[in-house]
Amino acid sequence: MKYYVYLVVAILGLHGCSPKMHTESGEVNFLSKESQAVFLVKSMGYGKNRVEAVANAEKNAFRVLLFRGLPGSDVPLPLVENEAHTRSVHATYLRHFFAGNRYRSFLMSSKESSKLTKIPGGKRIAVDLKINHHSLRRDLEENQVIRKFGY
Amino acid sequence: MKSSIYSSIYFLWIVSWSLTAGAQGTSGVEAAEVQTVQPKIMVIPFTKEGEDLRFVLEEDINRRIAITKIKEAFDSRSFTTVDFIARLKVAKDNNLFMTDNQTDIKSQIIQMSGADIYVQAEIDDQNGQSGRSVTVLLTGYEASTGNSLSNKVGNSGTFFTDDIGKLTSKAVERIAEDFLNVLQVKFTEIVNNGKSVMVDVGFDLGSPYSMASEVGDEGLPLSDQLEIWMEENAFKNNYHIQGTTDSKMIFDDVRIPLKDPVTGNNYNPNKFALEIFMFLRKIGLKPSKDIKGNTIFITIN
Repeated sequence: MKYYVYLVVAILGLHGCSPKMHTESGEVNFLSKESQAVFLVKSMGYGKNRVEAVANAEKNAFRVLLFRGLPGSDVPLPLVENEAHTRSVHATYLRHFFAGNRYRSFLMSSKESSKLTKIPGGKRIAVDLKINHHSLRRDLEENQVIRKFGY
Repeated sequence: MKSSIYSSIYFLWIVSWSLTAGAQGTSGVEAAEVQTVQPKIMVIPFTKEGEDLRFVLEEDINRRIAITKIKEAFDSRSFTTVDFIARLKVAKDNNLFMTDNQTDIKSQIIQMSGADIYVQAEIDDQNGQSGRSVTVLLTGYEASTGNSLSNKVGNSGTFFTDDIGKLTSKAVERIAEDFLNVLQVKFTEIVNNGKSVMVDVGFDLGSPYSMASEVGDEGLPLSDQLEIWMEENAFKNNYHIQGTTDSKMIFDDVRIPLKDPVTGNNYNPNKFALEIFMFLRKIGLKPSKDIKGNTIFITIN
């Protein structure tokens, strides 16, 4: 019994030492402009398995567009003016957008562009995404997350 | 006992619900009633020395393409611009141009259109051995102050073609979105920190006063009275004095809010001029006011 307890404690201890994976990442790069409203980006995603890594890659691309801006693209500055304010005031919209997978309605295509690679703590994958940034901006405006063009 | 606790909780819930609903309703009504006055934007072509702005567009399809493409970008953001060609036609039909000086004609059109912001588009076409390319320069100015709001240079890339219109269109497409993004950042700055106006305070020829005249209950010099007032009334205490002489005091950058902080209604330079006017009357002076765009002229008689 005593050895059994030691074993459990040791397993839990080792689990605690395993590297924690950060699924949020800024590894999103602009590839090309398809039209005035659509562009192609490459985004890196991390997760326990393929499905989670791909979903995180997609979410990362939208997080970068909203809160960081994508150099080289038509959205080099963040779409959202103040991240902290938006995260607190528009928490419901953002929850629905990310956790509720609403972001997928602005995604025109999502294609895996690398093999699923094993890394400490999980898996990594690169995904090429075609994003309709015009309709994303319009949606943010309509939901008053960002101001419309003008004063 | 138990039922009275339940009824008290129910009563409190009803009261809090009605208060919340009431508050939401009120703010909803306010937001719906007051529509922020948007700036008027006009896109105009750049003209070289001696070029006649009145005929330049009729002769050059490529400049018309550039202007239309820029207007398209504004339209895609649901923003309507003032049509330069239409204004030009009205001015020509009505023989409104008082001069042949090109610079004056440009200012006359801008003034006549009532545009707050104008975007100037310049096109440069280069034809070499490796092909042809078009460079477009976009510059956004605030009409009243001349402050530059957004600047972008776009290149079409080099192609073996004679279709300058297509190259112009390509060059504009590459920068239009970014140009609008920078403009929007400046608009946000204006919403947060106020709109810039210029206040020019002077004296009528026969006026017995000067900036050194001691006026008001405290007997302070007029220039100090004006500065104290500006300190209290400029939006977020944001003002800059260009200079003060005995006969003039110029505030070259005074920030005023877009919305009245008390009523929530739209606020403009005219209302700010009225406040200055009322203050000067209060300290025993006889002022008159004149407003041109975002410049306020106050004359003390």
